[in-house]
Amino acid sequence: MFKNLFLKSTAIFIGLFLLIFLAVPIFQVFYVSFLDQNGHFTFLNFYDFFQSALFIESFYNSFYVAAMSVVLASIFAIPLAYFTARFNFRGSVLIQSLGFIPLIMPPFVGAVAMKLLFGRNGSINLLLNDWFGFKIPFMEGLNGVIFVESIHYFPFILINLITSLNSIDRTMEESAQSLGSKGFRLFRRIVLPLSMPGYIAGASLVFLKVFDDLGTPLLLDVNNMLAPQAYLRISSIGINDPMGYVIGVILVLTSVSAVYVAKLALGGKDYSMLQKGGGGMIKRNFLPHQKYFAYFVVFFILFLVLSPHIALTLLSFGTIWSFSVLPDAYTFDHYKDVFENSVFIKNTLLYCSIAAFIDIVLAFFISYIVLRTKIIGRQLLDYVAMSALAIPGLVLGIGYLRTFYSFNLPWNDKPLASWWFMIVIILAVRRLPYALRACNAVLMQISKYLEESAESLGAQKTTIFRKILIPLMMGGLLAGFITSFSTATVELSATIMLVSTESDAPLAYAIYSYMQTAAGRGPGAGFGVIGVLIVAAGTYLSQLIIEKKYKQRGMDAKVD
Amino acid sequence: MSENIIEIKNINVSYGSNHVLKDINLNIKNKDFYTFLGPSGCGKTTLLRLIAGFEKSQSGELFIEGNEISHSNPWERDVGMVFQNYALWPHMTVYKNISFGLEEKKIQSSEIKKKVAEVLELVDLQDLSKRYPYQLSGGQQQRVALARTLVVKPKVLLLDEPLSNLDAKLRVQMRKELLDLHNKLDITTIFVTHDQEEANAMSTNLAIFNDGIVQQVGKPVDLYNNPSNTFVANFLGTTNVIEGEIKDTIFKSKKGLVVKNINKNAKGTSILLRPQNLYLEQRNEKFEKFIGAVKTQEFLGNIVRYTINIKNHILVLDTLHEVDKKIYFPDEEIVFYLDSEKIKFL
Repeated sequence: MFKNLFLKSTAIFIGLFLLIFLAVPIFQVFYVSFLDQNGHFTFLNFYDFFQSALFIESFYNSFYVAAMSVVLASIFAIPLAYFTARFNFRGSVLIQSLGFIPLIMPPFVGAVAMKLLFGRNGSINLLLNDWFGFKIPFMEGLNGVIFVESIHYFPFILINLITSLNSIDRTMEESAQSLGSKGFRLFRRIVLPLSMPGYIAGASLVFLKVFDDLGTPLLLDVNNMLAPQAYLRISSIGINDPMGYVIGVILVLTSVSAVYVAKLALGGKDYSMLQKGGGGMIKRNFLPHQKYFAYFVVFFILFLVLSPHIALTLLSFGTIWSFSVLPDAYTFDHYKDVFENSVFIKNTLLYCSIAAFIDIVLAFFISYIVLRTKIIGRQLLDYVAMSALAIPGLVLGIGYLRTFYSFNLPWNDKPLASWWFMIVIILAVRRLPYALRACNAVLMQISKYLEESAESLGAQKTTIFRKILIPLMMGGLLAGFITSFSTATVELSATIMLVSTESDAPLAYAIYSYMQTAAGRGPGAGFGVIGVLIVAAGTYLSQLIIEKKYKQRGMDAKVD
Repeated sequence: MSENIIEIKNINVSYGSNHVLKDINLNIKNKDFYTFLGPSGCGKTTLLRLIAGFEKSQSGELFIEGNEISHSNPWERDVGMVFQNYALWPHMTVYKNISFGLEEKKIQSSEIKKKVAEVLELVDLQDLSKRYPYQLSGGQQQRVALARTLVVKPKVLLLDEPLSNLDAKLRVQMRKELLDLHNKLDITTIFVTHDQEEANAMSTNLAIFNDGIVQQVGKPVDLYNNPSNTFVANFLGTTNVIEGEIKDTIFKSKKGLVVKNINKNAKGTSILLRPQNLYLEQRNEKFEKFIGAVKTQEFLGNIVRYTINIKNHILVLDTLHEVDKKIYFPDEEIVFYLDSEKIKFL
């Protein structure tokens, strides 16, 4: 039958794509980590890793930074989530939107600018010293990484926790109350355990992101962590140095075990499915003094959240900014530099739109195959595609370099790994889970009877795709496209390995390389601002589309 | 102490401009199985939640065992509530769910063990104590919710539409179990439902709510026989209500339907006729004869329900179906009889 043949060959094609561009590169990293110089199997590389004081320290530091970032991010997120869920509080809207701001900008973009604001001689410490005569080492060594990372990633905890708290049915608390429970005891025994799934999901995400992050420690001159060590080994010693691969394996294993531990901690229980009503906790009004306190906390965290953006903007407009609270003077010169080197922006727009297009096409077919067909191995397709989430970008980059370096392009005899299109593909693979989630969500809402009724009227599969599914899924597809696109524009850790010439480099790479010199900071910040604007516009657009979709509820109701 | 365990006096509740409960006065006797019956949005659940302490009234008083409690917190009231969705805590086992209330009361752990075992036996769930709520069926969850409330021996048991999430067969079975429990434990129970059949079958007394007002209070049979208004009459089963005028012993509707032999003392502007008090056969010579046209016919097995058009009134008639009895079809002429002694007046 034609329809099955078409879908089956599509499934095989997607399977091959994932095999070549996701599974094989990761397998390569694992494989090479077990080879000695002569290409024989050995455990010696791992033995060497654990014998090296530097690597042990790096491992410890990465772990420490990731764990402390979770702690600090929790301190930011928990009160905000609690205010929103428990109280009738006008600041709730502020909190919810505030939660998205840091996600717009990856931590490495603002890292240098944060040094100028919070560093030893940064604005805040200069003021503290003037007024109170002491300084706080926000940005010293590992502190800096923890500080910057937790400001950027606390929304993962915030958003998940709010979702979790809002799905607690109020009768959960009420039944405890009528059995004599109240106050903190009730909170500890009922609310806290019920909000755990959201908290753990968020916290494990923060841990993963921080553990794998490459750009932030590099730009803050913290090299004794795992990701920077892997990068430095490969980029300075070469792609045959086994240590880079060993570190890669350890990064992957840690990521996977963090996910596993989180799963274990949840015990496989999704409470939100079991509570029928939802609708959130019992809401209370603040007492007057509580209200002031709440607003104080919200505005304090708002300041922290916005500080990288403020600092980046100041840096991009400032002439000289050193040992002073604010830059000495302001100029547009950095933006002149930015537009003279607009090739980076052009590259990014090109790469990311192709990558996002690939994502949305793959995601459409994967979700269709998984949700609508009985093709053998369809779940595996979904599983492999989603697993890209747990693979550190840096490790994938190393894998690409290793796998595709030995193949040469037919037209110029250069290695495949140095071709710009590989950057597009790695971005597509990295962002595929986002698009896939969006597609799954919309397709699940569309009743399969809509397709079957078209089928019974004699429509071919391709007609059904064209006339029924794609129009119905348009909003979701577009939102998925934009999410993949905008988050890809600031992806660094995967692409940093694959940039072979400046002229092929994307925006994120430009930000990174400019930020490394004092003279480049201004233009680097300018590029950063441009990147943030692109992502912000994308996020805004996809929110708009999703909202519009909600307004069309009338259609959805019939579809369900 | 009076025989009333709960006294509700002049209770008013509004949300903004929405007046949900209007001047409610009710007395609930000790050991009663008392039902709040009414359509959704009538205020019955609000009143139940008010007794449990989850809602606040703008005015009025609420007494339990003679103590005014409208300002005390839910955890100080000693009132047990079983929620419509059961509200079992998904992170606790059946045992933990049940022992929760005892632990909050700081009861010795050996005592807790004993009491939980007792109540598990009471609801027949001895083997499921280690299960989590999501591993239980709807009926089992319901019983855990009951056990969790009963184990702390509350003064009053509040049941908020406890049967609405069960399938029809289980609902009838749980009805019986609930009544058995009530009788065994002698606990005052307030039961909220929108299902008149449930209310009639279970309650010793019931209060019918509509639009935030208590329409009528009494025993189920009394309310069925003597409804005080058309809402009650229609809510407790189907009733034919005909508006008109009574002069001497003759009732005349606005559209011209005439009924004779009306009780001399009857007063009102409407007559109420239950469908089963219209007959196809003249059992008594005093019965008055009418001729109408069948509008619809529903064959329900033991009963056939006709709607009959007579003088532009649509009357509902239920007749017991005996095997081989004649069935009328729409537009057929139909002769029926009316026993004027069964007429009620409003």
